[in-house]
Amino acid sequence: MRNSRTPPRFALRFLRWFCPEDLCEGIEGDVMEAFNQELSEGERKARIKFVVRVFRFFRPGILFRNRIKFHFMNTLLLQNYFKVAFRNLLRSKAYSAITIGGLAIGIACSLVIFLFVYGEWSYDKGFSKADRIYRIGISFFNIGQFANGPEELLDVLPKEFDGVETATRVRKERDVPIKIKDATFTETSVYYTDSAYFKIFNYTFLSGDPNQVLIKPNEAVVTRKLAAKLFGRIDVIGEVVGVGKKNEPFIISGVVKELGFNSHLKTDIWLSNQGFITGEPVWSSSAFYNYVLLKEKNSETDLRHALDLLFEHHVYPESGVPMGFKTLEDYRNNDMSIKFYVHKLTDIYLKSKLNFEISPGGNESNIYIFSAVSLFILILAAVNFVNLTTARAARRAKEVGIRKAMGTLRGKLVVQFLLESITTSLLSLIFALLLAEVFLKVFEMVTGTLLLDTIWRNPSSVSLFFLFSFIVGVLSGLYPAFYLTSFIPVKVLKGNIETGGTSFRNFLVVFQFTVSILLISCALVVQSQLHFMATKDLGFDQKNIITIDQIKLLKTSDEAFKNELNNLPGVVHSSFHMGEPGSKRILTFHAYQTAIMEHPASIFTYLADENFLALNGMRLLKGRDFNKDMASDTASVILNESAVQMLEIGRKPIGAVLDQKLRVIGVVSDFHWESLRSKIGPLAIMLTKERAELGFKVDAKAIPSFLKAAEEKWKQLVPDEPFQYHFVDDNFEEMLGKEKVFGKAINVFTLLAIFISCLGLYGLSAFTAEQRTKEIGIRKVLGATAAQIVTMLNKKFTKLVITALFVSIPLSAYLIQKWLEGFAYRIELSPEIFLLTSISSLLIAWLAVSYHSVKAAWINPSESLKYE
Amino acid sequence: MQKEYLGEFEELVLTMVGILQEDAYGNAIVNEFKDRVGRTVNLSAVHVTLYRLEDKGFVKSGMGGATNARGGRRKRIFTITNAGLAMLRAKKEQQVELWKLVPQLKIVGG
Repeated sequence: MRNSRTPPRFALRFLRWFCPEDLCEGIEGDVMEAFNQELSEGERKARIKFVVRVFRFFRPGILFRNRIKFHFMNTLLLQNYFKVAFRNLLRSKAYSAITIGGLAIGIACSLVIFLFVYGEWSYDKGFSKADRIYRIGISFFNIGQFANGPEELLDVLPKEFDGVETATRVRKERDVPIKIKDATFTETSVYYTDSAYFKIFNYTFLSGDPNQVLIKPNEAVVTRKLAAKLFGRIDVIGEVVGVGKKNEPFIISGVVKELGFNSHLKTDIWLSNQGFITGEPVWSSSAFYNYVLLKEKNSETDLRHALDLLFEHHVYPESGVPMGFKTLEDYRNNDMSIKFYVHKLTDIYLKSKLNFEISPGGNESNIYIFSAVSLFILILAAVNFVNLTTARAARRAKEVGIRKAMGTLRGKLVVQFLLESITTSLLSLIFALLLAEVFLKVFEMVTGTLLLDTIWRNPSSVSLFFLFSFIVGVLSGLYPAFYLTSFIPVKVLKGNIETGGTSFRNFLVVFQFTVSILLISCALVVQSQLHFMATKDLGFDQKNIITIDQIKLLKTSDEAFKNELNNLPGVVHSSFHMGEPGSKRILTFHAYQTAIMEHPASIFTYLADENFLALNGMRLLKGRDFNKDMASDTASVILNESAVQMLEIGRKPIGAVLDQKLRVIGVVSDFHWESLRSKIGPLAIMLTKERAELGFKVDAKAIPSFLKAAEEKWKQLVPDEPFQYHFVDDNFEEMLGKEKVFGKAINVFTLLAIFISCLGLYGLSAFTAEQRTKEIGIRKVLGATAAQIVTMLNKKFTKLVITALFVSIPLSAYLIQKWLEGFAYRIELSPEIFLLTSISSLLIAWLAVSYHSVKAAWINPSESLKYE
Repeated sequence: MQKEYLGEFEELVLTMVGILQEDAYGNAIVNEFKDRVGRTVNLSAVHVTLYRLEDKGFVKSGMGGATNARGGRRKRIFTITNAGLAMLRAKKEQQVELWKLVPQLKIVGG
């Protein structure tokens, strides 16, 4: 007999919800019993009492009995998932090693590249007003675009444009001696600037008032680091440092903390710049780095507009008109005119590619290339995971079938497999963190820059990578999870397991090899281009030329110095000069104008004595060399072929008159005097008495003894000055430096990509060989030779690699062509490179798959068939 | 000698379990309280106390019969364990010992 009068259902449901399951029945019974007793007192009252009673059970004494049980239920399932995951990893150790190892390499590689990219990207972003700070560079007389500009600019701009909140001039001096008492230190970079500097760039002042420093002449601000280096303490306000050769005294009035972020402003000492301010209204100069801070309401467009107006109202009348320009438009469109280049502070490091940057900039395209390539490497590793998991799906099919038959929902199974892939990728992360330490060293070796001494220096990025590898785990696990859970239990448990998905796996293998082959051919081309540049005939003889710098220090004894060294054994030629091929230490431009030219053209000019051509082995095509006995030669010039072309005196260059007084006496054949990236530009050589550098052509064998003798002689003449020299061919080596970094980086990436792809191929070949054991046994019994079987097994992979070749060769040809176009002098893209790529990638693939093919082919059929 | 502390309410509940024998379950104990001590106690408090006593090892529990009045739910029957009995006995003896020390005929005032 059921009592129709039942207690409130919601209360019962609530009780069941919070009550521990094993206690629930007893409690429920008791409350129901009490309810039934109380029914006699009236149903309404009983119901209220029932609810109250139920709610009184909602107390810690009951609730806390829940916790343990609740937890237990969930971990049970999770524990099972993890147990199965680990069992699977352990059951097939080789496959696990391949996926985990590959993923670890991929993750470690992207970790390091991430650190690199983040570091490059973060330049100057730490300044609080970074988005309002701009630097204005200049170009004039067509001699190049400079990051630094005229002093005059910041005198005029704030007056003409009220959007400027404040502005500062920075002059950078290199290798400046700093004296304190009896010790001398050399600072690689010293900034001469003014009080506005610290209003624009917010440094943290440890002592001194940021608004009061660098106002007076001869004030200095130093970083904590430099203070500690110079004085061994940081409370150095009021101390005096002697700066430069003249030992000019500067009083320290502020100490700042080093910036906690990357910045293109690299110095530890700032000095008042009053000594460099000339007050001369000259526009064609690049003495200072000019930074302006705009007001919040003003934008870059306003600044550019203001510069346009300034050009019209000041630059043209003050600089264009004196040069003979008749109209503003005429001047504006002429190469020789003054042009301003505005760069946002945060763009300077990566995007500004002007001459004389205050510190060397980064390479934006490298950032994109490196991150794209490391992403691809990660994808390659994920592909291994997908391929090996789906290929070996048969092993899991029974498990899936049974789980499904037992009533597991597909969603739960997907979660299980995702958990497995996440486990794999988290395991990989552990190895990746270890590997990353190695990769950091490799990165340092390749680029020459130290990113971090250890990954743990940047714990936030490590935690980010936990998240990252979690995502990698989910993404690479998605396809396998849905694929594996798609089995129909009846079929699977019956025993006919069809491992499908072959075409998708093949597609992924083709993708892997497309990327690898692409990288192989790129690496080959980059290497041969580098080799080409390193060995190209430069058009002159750059070998064994030693240049001694700072000849001016010798004052009047320079001639004697030269004569003495000339007598040393092995010296072939010697010449005083200013400027030499491959070097930008000294820049001299001259404006040349023929009678028919409307405006002068500025041409890079070497100033030298009569032995310069002989010293460098430059080839005279027409006319004659300088002759010191001919007095008229002080007004003569020798041009290279491009200069002749530029000045349009090609028909009869010898004897042509420039600037109404200079006579062209000779033409040298074009030789490389700049980077091989650019075409050989026009160049002039003029006779001069000025002496800045002294070059010697010395027999290779005599170089060590020559250097020793030269240094001794130098020390005799000027004992206080350092003896500095360099080799001319090193100038070109230096220019190749950046390209070499790129070349090395591509090599490393290529190796990693090949390695990961081969790991995958190796795993897949092991799987196929294993799957076809019986087939191979039967074939052998029927008389197939081992060689035939190996060929048969390898054929499948060969096909895939050949497909990849067809995809990647056009693609790489296109990309390589794009890269090569950056070089004026470049190798021809020859079919040999692609032939070499094809052969090597096929060989590599064959090596990777042959181990298992050969092993399978050698198995005695009696072994492989004994269980039939 | 007391390893486990027994509160006053716990002691009463434990005694009730001893009295009710095979019929000691939550509601019965509440009713027994009303009948014998004249005290209205809360069902949930009794339950919590019973579970605590079970944790301490003084009672043990098992599922008993179901009745219609309980909506078909079985009873959780508690039985006193030897440890529980020993505990009660010790408590009683202790009280008797202490009681003996109280002077019985005290004349107040005078």
